[in-house]
Amino acid sequence: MELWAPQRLPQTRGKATAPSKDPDRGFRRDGHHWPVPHSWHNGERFHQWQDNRGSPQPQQEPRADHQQPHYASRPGDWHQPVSGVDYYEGGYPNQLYSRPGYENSYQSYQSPTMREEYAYGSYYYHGHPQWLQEERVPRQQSPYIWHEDYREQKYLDEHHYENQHSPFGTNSETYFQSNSRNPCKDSPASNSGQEWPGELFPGSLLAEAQKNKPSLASEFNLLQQRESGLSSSSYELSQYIRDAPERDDPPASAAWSPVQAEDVSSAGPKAPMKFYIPHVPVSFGPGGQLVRVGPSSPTDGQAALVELHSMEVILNDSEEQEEMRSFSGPLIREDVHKVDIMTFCQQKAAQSCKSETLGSRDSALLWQLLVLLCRQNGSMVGSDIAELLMQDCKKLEKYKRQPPVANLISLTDEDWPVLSSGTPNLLTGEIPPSVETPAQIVEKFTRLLYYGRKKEALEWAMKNHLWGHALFLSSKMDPWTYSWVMSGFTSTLALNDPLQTLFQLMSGRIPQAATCCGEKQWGDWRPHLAVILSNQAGDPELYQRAIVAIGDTLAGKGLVEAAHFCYLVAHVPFGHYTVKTDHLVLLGSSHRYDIFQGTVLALVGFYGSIFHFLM
Amino acid sequence: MREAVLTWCVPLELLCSHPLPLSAFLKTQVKLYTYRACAGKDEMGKMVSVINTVDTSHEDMIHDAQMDYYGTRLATCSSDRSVKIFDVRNGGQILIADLRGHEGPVWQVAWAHPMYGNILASCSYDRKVIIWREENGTWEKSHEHAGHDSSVNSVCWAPHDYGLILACGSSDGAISLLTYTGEGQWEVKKINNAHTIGCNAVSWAPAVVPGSLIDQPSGQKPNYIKRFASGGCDNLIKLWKEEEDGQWKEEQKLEAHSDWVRDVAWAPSIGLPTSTIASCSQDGRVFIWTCDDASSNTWSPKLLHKFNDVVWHVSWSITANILAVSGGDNKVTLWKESVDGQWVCISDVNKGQGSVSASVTEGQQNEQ
Repeated sequence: MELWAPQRLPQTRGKATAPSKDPDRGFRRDGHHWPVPHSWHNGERFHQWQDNRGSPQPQQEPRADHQQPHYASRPGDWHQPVSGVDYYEGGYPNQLYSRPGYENSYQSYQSPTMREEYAYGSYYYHGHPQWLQEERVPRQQSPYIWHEDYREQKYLDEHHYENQHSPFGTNSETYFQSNSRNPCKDSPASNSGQEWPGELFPGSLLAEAQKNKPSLASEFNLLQQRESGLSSSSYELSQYIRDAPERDDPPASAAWSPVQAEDVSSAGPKAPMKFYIPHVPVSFGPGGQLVRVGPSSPTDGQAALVELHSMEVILNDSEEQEEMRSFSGPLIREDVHKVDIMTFCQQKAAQSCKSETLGSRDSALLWQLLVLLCRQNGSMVGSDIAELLMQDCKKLEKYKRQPPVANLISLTDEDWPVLSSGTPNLLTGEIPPSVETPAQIVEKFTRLLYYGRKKEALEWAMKNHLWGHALFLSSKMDPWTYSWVMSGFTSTLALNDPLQTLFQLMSGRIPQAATCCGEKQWGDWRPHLAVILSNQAGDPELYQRAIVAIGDTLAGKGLVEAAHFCYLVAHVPFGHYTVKTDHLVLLGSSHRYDIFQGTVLALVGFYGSIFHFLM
Repeated sequence: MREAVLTWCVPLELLCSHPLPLSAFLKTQVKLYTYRACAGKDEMGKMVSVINTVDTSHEDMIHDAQMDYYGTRLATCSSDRSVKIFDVRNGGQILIADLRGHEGPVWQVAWAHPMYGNILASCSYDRKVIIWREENGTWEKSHEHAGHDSSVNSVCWAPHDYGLILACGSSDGAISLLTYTGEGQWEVKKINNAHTIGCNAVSWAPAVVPGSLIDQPSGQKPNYIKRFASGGCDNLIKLWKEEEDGQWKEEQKLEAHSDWVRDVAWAPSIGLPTSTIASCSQDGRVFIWTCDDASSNTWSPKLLHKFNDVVWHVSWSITANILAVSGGDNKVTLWKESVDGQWVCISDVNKGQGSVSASVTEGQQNEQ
């Protein structure tokens, strides 16, 4: 400390004369008053205070001794202390109080920082640019800082000229009060022991004076940023800077942050600290762990702990976790017994049955199909599936013929010849009950054949529901007649009769049901599929096309699970999500419409994996 | 204390970056990692999620803690200028290495992919990035990069498919990319003035072609485009892309924050056709950015939540469906996207209970 004290004294004297002619200039925005002539005395006075408060710093002692007598001779300078404080602050090594970890580095960096602080001190010291010029010369060591000060000062001068006549301005008593208030407030006891009391003054005074305005140091940064051409809003920077002092540390710490950065990057711009307060870094581990760092401050004696959490426990209560637990995956043949899979599927089927939503019955059916497949090791036989389909149909529906008239007309392949006799239209199938007994009907049929009137015999037989006779006879005649009689027969059946479906399919056509099922009035689609599955004969390709057609119709009506059931039994291959013409991508979900990815992921784990396990 | 033994299985494909057809994905679900969590119960009988507490003995604030690829080691870094590595298998904590070399607070650590060896990168306020390597059981400084003029705030290793590449973001506004070219040599590419004032975070995009999980396999080798995201003090998130000539170009600028972006995290991918980025800022907001089209041109932000304080960290789980957020209130919250597309808080990691704090749910209602 001896180093700088002598340096300062002559200069202070040199400045002693100039400022008196412009007392107002001496007033800073924050109300610092610097009657220069007394500055060095103020420094001493400050020093005196230091002593009074028992400053812990060893460097203080020599100065105290040195300047003690001077101070004693100037009791009247009490109101000067603020400026003296400013002045003084420059002289102290920048012992950092906000970053305890840096203490050691600060000790070692004493010399350069001293000069920097001197620069600061001088800056606070006066509002006269010409003095700055003078003082610039000796401070070659830290031109950067100095320049910064100068700019800072200009900035402040520009922007705060109007504030120069602050409340403190001419009222020396209030000024004094504010000054005296601060040191007591910011006594070393309130901060960590390493703090240098002297340094508290300027910052704290600034804080007091500014009343939560950004501190000078923040403006240092701002200017620095502006000068370097970076575009930042002062608001953001000040916010950042303000954040720093909002902790326990006194606001003055912000004043020193530029300087503390000086330690590690002496030539470069001062970077803000990425983290300036304790925070909680968090990251995930690969095995379901969550790594959480405790927000402790080891410098305050707290242990620096890192906790490893189990994600499974954290998410213990979520629905997905419950589902994951009940799932006996991963599905590896060697690891999982099919009984577990079957049990799981049965549970799911029971769950679906219980829920009353639209597709729940079909969903249960799909699960039951998987159970069946599991039991049969992947082989599918038509009749087994038909049994599965029919198990829910407690009673067979009575397939009533539709009431007469129009809607039946379009359904038959050929037009019925309209009988001119005026008898009821055969198209409707409604034949008024005849008075004849069955024996008499047969007798008439036979009589007609005596005379070779096969056509009339057939008509008579059909009219009177003598289907066996009619079909036998017509089967031995030409094919046209035979199909005519067969059509007549099938028209007596209800449209949605599964028998219709079977007969139509056996006749080589895609049955009506393929385009109509799924509608409420059509009835249940399941008997139709059952009847097709159990009676596969002839062209297998036709049967497959028919089943796929049923599936498409059901899919079109939004019955996704039902459609997928059809596709599965028709051995439709799985396709890809992006190919919209593919029938089947994921069991239980439709890829043709926008589905949320979450659903995709959820379903992957269940339907699809089980199916592939089986295949 | 009764022990609950739990298993957590991760499908292999979710950790690989090879595009696979759906059927293959389903068939080869392999138990990669069986993690037995010995979770205890607290005095109330509720399950406590903490399975290990590591006392790092750091002398100052810890700024980052990362587990390695296998989950056996934990690396921590601190303001006390050291980087420590612990063996945390089976609930233990054995100090393996105490790495000194930085001259300022160390902000972040990042583990490289184990196929390149045991490599750890660290960045510090001292403007340096140090790459540490374990040779014959001892950890040593392998390389030091001092090409920045100011604090290096963030380091992130690229997906291993691209090679051994490290991105470093610094307060001097530049981002440098170090590529290992062999025999101890590292090539440096620098993006100057990436962010005005400074860059706070960098995060690489996963090396997965978007949509590869559900697309038809094309059979040809995928054409990777190297991309990463950076967040800076200019309140922006920028996306960078490597051109054919090897130069890095700013591809996108994402603007939504009103204050410094503190962290960005590009979500890992399992091959679904969307890309997702999370960002958090001094302004207390966390945004989720999603891009749906394969050409990756339109990114739309969704506000996850507005916190009352700065948000420091965002981090994605391996399968990218859970986001961990840590803020100035020192609370960690976990977020997940619900079926209807809204982000909901699923947990408040505070001493291990799985409950959601009331303040967060209220905030959710207010915000959304």
